[in-house]
Amino acid sequence: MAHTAETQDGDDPQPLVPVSDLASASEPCVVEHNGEVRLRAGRWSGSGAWAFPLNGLDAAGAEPVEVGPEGKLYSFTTVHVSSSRPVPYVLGYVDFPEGLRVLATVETADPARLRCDLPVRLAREGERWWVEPTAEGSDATGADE
Amino acid sequence: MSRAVLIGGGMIRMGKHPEASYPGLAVPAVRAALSSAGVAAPEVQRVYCGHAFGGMLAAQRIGKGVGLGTIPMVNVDNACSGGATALHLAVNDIEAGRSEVVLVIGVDKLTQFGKGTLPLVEEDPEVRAGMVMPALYAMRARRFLYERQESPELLAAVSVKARAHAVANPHAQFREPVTPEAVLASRMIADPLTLFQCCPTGDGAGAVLLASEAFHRRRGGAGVRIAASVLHSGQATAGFRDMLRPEITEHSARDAYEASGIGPGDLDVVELHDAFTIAELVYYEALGLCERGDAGAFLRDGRSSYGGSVVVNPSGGLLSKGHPVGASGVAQAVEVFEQLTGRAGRRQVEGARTALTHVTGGGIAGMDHGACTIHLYEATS
Repeated sequence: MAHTAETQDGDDPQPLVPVSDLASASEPCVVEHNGEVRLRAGRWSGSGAWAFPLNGLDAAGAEPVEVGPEGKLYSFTTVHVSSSRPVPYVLGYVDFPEGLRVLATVETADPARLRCDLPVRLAREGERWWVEPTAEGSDATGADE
Repeated sequence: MSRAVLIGGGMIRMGKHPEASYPGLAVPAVRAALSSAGVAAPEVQRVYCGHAFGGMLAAQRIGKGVGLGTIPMVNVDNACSGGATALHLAVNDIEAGRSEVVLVIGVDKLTQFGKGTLPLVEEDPEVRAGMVMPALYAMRARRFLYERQESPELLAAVSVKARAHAVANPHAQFREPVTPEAVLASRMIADPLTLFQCCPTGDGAGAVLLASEAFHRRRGGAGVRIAASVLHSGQATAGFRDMLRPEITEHSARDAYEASGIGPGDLDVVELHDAFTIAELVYYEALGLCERGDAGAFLRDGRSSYGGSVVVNPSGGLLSKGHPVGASGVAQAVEVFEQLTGRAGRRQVEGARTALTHVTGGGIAGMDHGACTIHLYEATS
């Protein structure tokens, strides 16, 4: 049968098992080298398709690729009503130059200064990660630290 | 191949109906659809019921209330496209000659979740990161305003038009006109989208009867021919995507126009998926109602309202009529049935002969939307 592993000389076939992608979803999405934070993404060699977060479904076939630390804020919003997180919080789509777009939390002291195409940089604390405006992207007040 | 013909439709007034069950919402709509078609319940050969949150066997629970049983009944979930997907399956059955009379129901009850944003599937990585539907559309709006150098007043104008249309719709949840100032001053949900730019929490149900052309000829009576029925699914990418070009809608519209020979310039009535104000603007362009880049002028010049080139959302749309997810695709078909048979009362689009309905179904990481359904309709007389 196509959906079971091959049998050997009358042995019972190996049953298919599910992918524990919920367990792997809790693995860290970021790594840090020399103070630079990068995302752990994946890329399928045939199609070139990106995978992020790199869950168990992709881990079997996608090549691990690290992306970041800098990208551009494609768009963003401050969420005031949400069924999934305490409000308010700022979400944005971040375009990394490698070709990956990621939904990220945006941390900034002054959301009014955010704009589309603003340069942003990855940051982390333990396993929690977010993006924040880079120094040149924050109009040079340093208020975003 | 027989074409499918809408021969009757009905819906309840959308709104907050926490005291009504799913059958309580849908049975009056089904009775109205049967009655307007002049069809008795035992003549129905098959039932499709679109819903997202109705739990197990909603179609059978509703069917019980009008004496329907034994025949095949199928429950359909495709998020906001659930009702329209049910209609699509019914069209397929009639065109394939499997049935002569099919009942299509769309129903959902959002007050069961209280207030706030629609609960999405928590297995999705973007949902775990805090994605809610208003945030997705807000980011689309932000990018639109940035690239087109427009201001939030343009977004507000969509709500103003929707409310102006809904004043004449007895089925609508909101029937009071609203000013641009009031839209912009309402509570911020996900900036730049304020409360009055978001479809409301509400409950509703619609039902239509679909028949073969032979059945329609035998019985006579009102009819609206389905000229195309297209269902597309989203294609995921974690790469870049132009949020001003919702490709699932563009592709679905292209296929529907090709299948029917009807073009966007032929349309008298369009009911499109204005779950949030920005959606209407990008869908003008994706459906080909105006040139790319022209959505702002198309709205401001009144070309999408009465007296313009096409009346978009004469019902008030999802923003004003309401958007109980699985009900919306069928409610749109009810509106088109009324418009193309001259029964739309004070909101009648004069001489309407051709119409399009469009719903998407969203909320999956990496996709424009998960589903998109487009139907094209022609008056039969």
